[in-house]
Formats: sequence, structure tokens, C-alpha cells
Amino acid sequence: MDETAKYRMKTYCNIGWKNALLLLGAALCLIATSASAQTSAGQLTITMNVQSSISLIFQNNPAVGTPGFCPLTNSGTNNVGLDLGTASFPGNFHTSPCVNYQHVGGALYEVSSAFDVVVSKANSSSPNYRLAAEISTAPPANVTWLINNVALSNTAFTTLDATDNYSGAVTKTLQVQVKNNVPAQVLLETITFLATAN
Amino acid sequence: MKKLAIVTVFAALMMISSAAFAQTANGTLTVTATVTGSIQLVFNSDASGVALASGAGTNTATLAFGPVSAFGAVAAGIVRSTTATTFTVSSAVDVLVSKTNSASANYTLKAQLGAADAVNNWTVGGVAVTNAAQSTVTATGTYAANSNFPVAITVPFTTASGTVINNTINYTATAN
Amino acid sequence: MLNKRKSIRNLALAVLLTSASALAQTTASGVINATLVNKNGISLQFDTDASGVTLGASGTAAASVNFGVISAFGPLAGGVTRPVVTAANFTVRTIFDVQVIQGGLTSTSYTLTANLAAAAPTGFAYKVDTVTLTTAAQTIQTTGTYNTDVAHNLDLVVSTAAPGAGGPATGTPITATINFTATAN
Repeated sequence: MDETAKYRMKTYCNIGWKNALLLLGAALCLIATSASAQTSAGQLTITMNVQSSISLIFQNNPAVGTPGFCPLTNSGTNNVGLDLGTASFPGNFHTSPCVNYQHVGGALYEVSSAFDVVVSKANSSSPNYRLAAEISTAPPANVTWLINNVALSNTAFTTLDATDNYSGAVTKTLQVQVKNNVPAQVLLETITFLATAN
Repeated sequence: MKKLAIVTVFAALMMISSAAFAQTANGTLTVTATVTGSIQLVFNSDASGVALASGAGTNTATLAFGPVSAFGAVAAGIVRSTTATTFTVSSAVDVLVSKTNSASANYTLKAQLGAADAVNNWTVGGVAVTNAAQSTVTATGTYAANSNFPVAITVPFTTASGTVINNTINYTATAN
Repeated sequence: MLNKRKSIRNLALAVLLTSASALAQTTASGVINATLVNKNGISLQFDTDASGVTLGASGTAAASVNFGVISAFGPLAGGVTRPVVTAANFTVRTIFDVQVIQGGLTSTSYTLTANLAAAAPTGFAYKVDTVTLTTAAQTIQTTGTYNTDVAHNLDLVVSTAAPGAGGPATGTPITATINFTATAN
């Protein structure tokens, strides 16, 4: 290497200690910038007001399937179905093995099946509840719908119980009494149960 | 006289040449800017959830469930489930994280309750959140897309009727 | 300005939450959709008559009556009478009730018919009321009353001829089945 080349090398490399520190700082700054995570924050405020409430569901009785305890469709909900089959006054005729069939007096037959009602409460200080029921439409003449021997009406709720306990299964028996002069027909009824917190 | 004329002519030529060549000054301005990547988080109402009561499109929003109960009517946008002892209400909430000047492929979203709640359980996007520490809601959030991270609160049946539940959830999105 | 907006928002939330306290749900309801198909029909059952032999399976549509040991001159079981004795035959009788029940029909009466399930054993003839039965259905009653016991005589007309000479076998129980049919008028 001749003297000129050495001089050039010396000139290029001799940037001074101040400049070196400056360059190092800038480099570190860039490295730090790229390494630091990009973040963004947000705050969501949530409000709600807890209200007391009660629920009512129908369940199959543990004895379901035996005479007097027909299975409910949609058991465990508040909208269930109950098929009592086909029955007739003469000959104690009834097709469903899960119903109870009997003649009442000399001219009535009765088909019945039991199920459970469960009323639960949440966020409530209510100690118990009262239970009532109502049929949706007036039945044909000489047909009576009953719950636990209490005849139901389609004009008002009929009280069944005054102080039932929450969360306990209350067994109710739905009965249909049909006089022997009632023409052949499908007897369809929607029975609404109403639980009211005491 | 002749000399004087020559001098005069020379001086005139000098003046002419001075006027013809204006004086100039040059300068160099070095402009430096350092672009850095950034991300932004905002809350949006989700079509399937409760509309945010305020702050939609910002990073400070309010989600008002209103009256809630275990068995009563459920307001639009609220999804409810119940157990034997508790009920849970949830609402879809969209989180939108945008990025600029960033090569980040996705983001990590963390959430933390603003205040301790010893009674109710809170989740964001199905992940339990408390005020003790941040919980990772997602480690691979997608940028520039409304992502639904439902906010759910589980309330025990023992809570008295009329109780107001109020809290904040602090979200942090971090570019990966 | 910002604080004012926040105040308004907080006030609105407070009003919302306060008004909610009046919304406690204190009732719950459920419905049962129940169906029963009421079918019309008619049924027949045999009942023991107070004056007759106690029926087996009384109250059903498949009853039995046992005359016991019968003869032209010997003793008879309780509920059995011997209204006729001739040189050619003797008749033993018991009374049984038929109850026909109807439901869901406009019919006010019924017709009762009867027939032997098989030809009568040798030396025997069977009569219900005044009608001698054969294997073909014969009308016993045309205007039976529903839902009440109607008494009928069941007569066994027994030949006095010796066994093998047209008389009945002796010493062994002889059984016959009579089918009854009630038809709504």
C-alpha cells in the first residue's frame, strides 16, 4: 500500500469519537424502536341491573311409564305435550297403558295422568309461590278438565296451591272426565299453569 | 485625456459585468423523519349483540345490558343461559384493531377487569377475566376486521334483586 | 363540554337502571297441550244375577256359568232351577244378566243376538229366554236398554234318553260356548 492509500484509509476511518457515539446511539434508538411492541388500549364499561325472576317447567314424574304417569313431550320445559290416547266409556276402553282409566259414577269415565311441576327462583327473597291453572278454551258439554280433582275454567285461573316450595317437584294429576253421551271427538286442551311468587 | 477616457470605459465595463453576474448563496436542508408502525383499537356494536350505549367507534365505550334476570324476558342482543344456581348473560362486542406502517401479521388482545368482582364471573371471548392480571383473549387477532369477543357475566341466584353490576374491562392490543 | 356530555350519559344510565328495578319478574307460566281422543262405542258384559248362579269373571265380556251336576230328579246347585221335566227331556235354568253400555252414540237401544260357538253336544239344547240356539245368530232381544242389567234365562234342555241312544254323555262335564252380540239400534 502506498502512502496515498494509507492516508485515504486513515481519513475514512477517523470519524472521531463523538461521531461514533452519535452513530451508536442512533443505531440503538432504531433497534429499540423496532423492538418495542406497538400497543393500543381501550376501555369498555359494562352495566346491568339484576332482577328477581322465577321459572316454571314440567317434568316427567319418576314413575313415568307406569299407569297414571304418561311421558311428557319436551319434558323439562314450560311447553310440553301430554297424549292421553284414545278412550271410550264402554268396556273401560283405553289405548294408552300409561293412563289411569276409571268410571266415575254411572255415566262418566275419567282418564288421568300425573306429572311434576318445578318452579325455581333466582335473585328473589320470595319464600314460596302459589300455583294456579286455567284451560284455554271451553270444553265440549259434559267434558271436564281437572287438576288434582279441581275443575278448571277457561275464564279465570283456578288456584291449586297457595304455598308451594321452590325447586321442589310438585306432582299434579291432569284428569279428563267425559260423560258417556259425549260424541266421538278429539278433546284438545291447553292448560296454562301460573306460578306467582309470594 | 485619452488615458482618462480609457479608464472611464474600463470602469464602466466593470460595472456592467458586475450587474450581469448577480450574487448567489446556496444551502442544503436535510429532512429526517422516522416512520414507526402503530395500531389502534376501537369498540364497535356487533349486529347480533347489544348496541353499545356510547362510544361505538372509539376506544372508550359503554355496554349497558339493562335489567337482566335468570328467567324473565331477555332483551334483544342478550344471550342467556342458566344453571341451577347461576345465570349468565352475554353480548357480542366487536373489537376492531387497525395497523399502520407495520409488518405485524396479527395482534394479541388482552383484557383485565377494572375493579375486583368477588361475586360475579366475567369472560371476554370465552376467556375468564379478573382484575388481578391481564388475560389473553386471543394471540392471533386479525387486523382491520371486526372481531366479536362476547362479554359475558355470570351472576349467582343469591344476588339481591335490584343489584347494579358495574365494571370496566381494559383491553390492550399488542402487535405481534 | 365533555364533562357535561358524560354527566348526561351517566344520568341516562342511572335512569335506565333505576327504572329497571320495577321490572322484577314475579310470575312464571307454562302450558300443557293435552289430547284425549274420545271414541264412541258399545260394550257388553255379563253380570251375576241375584237369582242365578254366580258367574265366573262376572262383570266382563267373557264370563262362565257352571250348572254343576244336573239331573231330571236329583238335587241342583244353588241358583239352578228345573222348570220343566217331561218324559223326553228336562230343563235346568239359571238367570244371568247382560249389561250393554254405550258411549258417544245417539242410539237409545240395542238388539241382542246369540249363537252357539259349535253344535250342541248330543242330548243337549241351549235356550236363552225362549230362543233355542244354533250356530247361527238368533235375536234374543230387539230393544235392550243400555247401561243396566237385563236378566235373561239360560236353559239347558237335556234329553232323558240313555247315552248312545240320543241321550247326553253322563258323568263328565259337558261344555258349550255361547256368543252374544249387542248391536246399537
